[in-house]
Amino acid sequence: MEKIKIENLSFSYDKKNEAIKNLDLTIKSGKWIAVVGHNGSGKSTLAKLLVGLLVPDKGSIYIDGLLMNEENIQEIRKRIGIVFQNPDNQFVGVTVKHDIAFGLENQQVPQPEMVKLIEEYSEVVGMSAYLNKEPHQLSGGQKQRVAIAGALAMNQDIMIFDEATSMLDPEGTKDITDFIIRLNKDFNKTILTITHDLEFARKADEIIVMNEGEVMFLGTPNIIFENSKILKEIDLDIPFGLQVYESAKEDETLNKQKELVEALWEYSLNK
Amino acid sequence: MNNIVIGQYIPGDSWIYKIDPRIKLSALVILLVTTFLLNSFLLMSMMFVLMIIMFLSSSVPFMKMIRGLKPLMFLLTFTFFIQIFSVRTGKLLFEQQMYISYSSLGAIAGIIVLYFGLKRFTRFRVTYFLLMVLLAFVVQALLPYGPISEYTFQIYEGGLSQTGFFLFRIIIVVILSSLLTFTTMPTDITNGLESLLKPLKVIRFPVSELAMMLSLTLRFIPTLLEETGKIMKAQASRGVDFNESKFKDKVSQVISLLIPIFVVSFKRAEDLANAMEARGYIVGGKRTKIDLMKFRMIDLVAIVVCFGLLSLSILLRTGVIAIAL
Amino acid sequence: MGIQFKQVSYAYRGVKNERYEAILNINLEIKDGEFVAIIGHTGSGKTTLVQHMNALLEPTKGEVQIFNYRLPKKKKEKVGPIRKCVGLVFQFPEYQLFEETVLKDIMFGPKNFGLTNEEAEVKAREAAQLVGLTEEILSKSPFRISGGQMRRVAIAGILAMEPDILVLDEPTRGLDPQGSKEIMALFKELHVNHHKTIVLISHDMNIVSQYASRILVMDSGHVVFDGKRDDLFNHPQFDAFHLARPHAYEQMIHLSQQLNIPFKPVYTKGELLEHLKEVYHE
Repeated sequence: MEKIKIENLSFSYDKKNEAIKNLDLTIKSGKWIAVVGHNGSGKSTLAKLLVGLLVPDKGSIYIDGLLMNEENIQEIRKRIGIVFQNPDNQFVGVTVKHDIAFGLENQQVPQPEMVKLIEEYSEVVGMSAYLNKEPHQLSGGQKQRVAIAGALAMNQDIMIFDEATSMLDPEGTKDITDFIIRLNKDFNKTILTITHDLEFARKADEIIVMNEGEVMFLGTPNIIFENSKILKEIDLDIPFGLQVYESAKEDETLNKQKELVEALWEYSLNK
Repeated sequence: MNNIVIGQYIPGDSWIYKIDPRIKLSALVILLVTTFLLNSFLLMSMMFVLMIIMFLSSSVPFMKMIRGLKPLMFLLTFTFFIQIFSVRTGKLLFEQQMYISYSSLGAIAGIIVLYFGLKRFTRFRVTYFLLMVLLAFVVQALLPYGPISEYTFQIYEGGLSQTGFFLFRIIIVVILSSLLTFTTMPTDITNGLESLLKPLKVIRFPVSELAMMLSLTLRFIPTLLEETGKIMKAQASRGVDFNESKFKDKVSQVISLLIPIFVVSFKRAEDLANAMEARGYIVGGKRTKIDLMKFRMIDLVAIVVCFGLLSLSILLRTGVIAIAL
Repeated sequence: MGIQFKQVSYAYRGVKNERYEAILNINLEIKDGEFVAIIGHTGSGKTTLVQHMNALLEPTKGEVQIFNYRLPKKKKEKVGPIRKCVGLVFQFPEYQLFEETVLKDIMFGPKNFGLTNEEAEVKAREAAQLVGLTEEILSKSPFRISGGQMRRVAIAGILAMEPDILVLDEPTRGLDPQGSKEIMALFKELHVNHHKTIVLISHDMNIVSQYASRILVMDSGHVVFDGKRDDLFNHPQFDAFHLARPHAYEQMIHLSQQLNIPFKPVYTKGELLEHLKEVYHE
């Protein structure tokens, strides 16, 4: 089932330089796609287009088979949620409880139902003891967890994470990345993670490499990393283990050592 | 990070906490109007006693209220003296010859120096202040040496009751507003306001949007405070001395604080707008609310009592009824 | 002369008047010319500690000596001179930019310390060159350049003050791998060629191990380790510190076990490959 379908999408901010150029993309239900690329490659622009925050110059976006337009954008927003990079700048509510409620209030969910949903999903993200806490009393990771709870409560099948961990410390990052994995595996959400962390991207079902507004390469992590030259061309760093393996293969002393090369390859698969 | 809390809410359990915020807000307004309609010391004292009882039954810690009055000490003392000196009606209760002389002026100067000098060592600043003021007057009674002029310090019954009138009135206002802020969560105040102003929607007044703006402001004040602190430290690390310096330096100092705050805030506004829109917020759209406001018996009783007091004060003011003692 | 901490504690009061001790009984000396890294979890006291180094905070107990200055300071003493000698670069320093042009912003610091416009401009241009900002960028508004460039401007703003000691609070936070490499290379150059003492707070074990000779580990307000990096990573209680090991070190452990080759502490890809080449050199 095609959850997201993008046809011939083009967009430019200033009508001069195209941020997205003739993009075609299909994402199936339940898949986890990682979008990687440099700042300026169009990744964040794509995310904003998918939730209707930007209107394309050309092309179409279909969410759940619905063609995105002004009339049905609110209906589409019930199906696709987004967690942004800055934990503070998306935390709307005065307390955790109020923030999780925000999206539900917008959808006019009846109050008793809201109470249940908030209880349930704050529990899922481990923030049920913090319902009355104010955002400045929370860490970045906790705020992002609240954002996730809000999206879960709205029962959105598709979730986009736009560099959701780049402003977090290592603990927070691990926290959120673990959640994202759970969302895909346990909750069956269709996930799009926008990141420049290739270590995290390799856990996804597929990786899309974007460069200058176009999809440069699309494939499973293994295929992508087998063609790591492409990544190097656009200055993206491949995971450490893989770098070691690649360098070893090119070294005359080392590439003759079968056992070593094997071990390095094996190691690179996980690291 | 944990040092700031929005508003002055103190958790508690008494009857005041159980009243609907709309009723509390309305009660505040009604009781303030009632208070300002009273025009005699007797009535004001009765209202004052009523307020004290209300306060004591509210389980709000006494010290919090006292602290709320501290900033007003100057005003209260000033009012006290103005009234005492100017009103000369009724029975003369007290009379004392006061001397403005070189010795008494010198002593007053000494007291002022002592006050500022010892200020940092005292913990009970207000009491200390009042003590010094009292001393300044005692000194005028006791030191006639090197006379310049004299006056008679007289306390009339009228003066005392006028003073009492104004003092009690100011304190009642403080008690009423503090009771509101101590016993109502900021979100409830916003909800109450939004609900009370709903009728204005008829004339296209953007009530819900205003309420959303209010609640976003509440939400971001602590965050902004923290960020301001960080920027101050960052600029201090670049040599800005916020404590000292000439006036012209102050201008560039303030700019070095204001501009970063503005920039951060504009970016924040943009991000927030995107997040809110992505989460389905429509300006002017219908929304449900997570916070419930229920009108209960206690609310009915409270509003009836308030209206009762208001009616009483209107009747007394317009002379329809009078209290005979 | 460096910086010395003698039995330093810093406590503050929270909302309900409870006392929080951010750092406790810190004894520490940072000598001239060192490259020290401070690591530890959020809340371990790292930021509180380094904010004493340029007198943004004063100890509630104990004494800090910074060159000839002593904290807590006496009533009339000014802290300005300390802030010139110890330059502190905050996390996400791009937030402190505010001037009309990049050049003016870099000049802000020096001017606050008494330099004339001309003198400040000279220092600013020198600093701009150090961080790799082109002439073109100097006349632009600091709000019209990329995030990475903004960060360099902020760092240049501190460098223009010509501090002897540079304190950097997570300078690579939020940067991509390429950006991180470039910034760290700059600090290395400042350390080696300009003899600046560097104190670096970072979460990135790879960066810490690659650049710092001495590592301080903080936990709950205490310094739990202070020593050379080799000693840290093969410390018997390393796991109790809850830290990750650098990529290369981790892989070395794995390979030495799996392939039965001799172990050697390595911290970069280059070092790892070097060692492997030595091992497999027939």
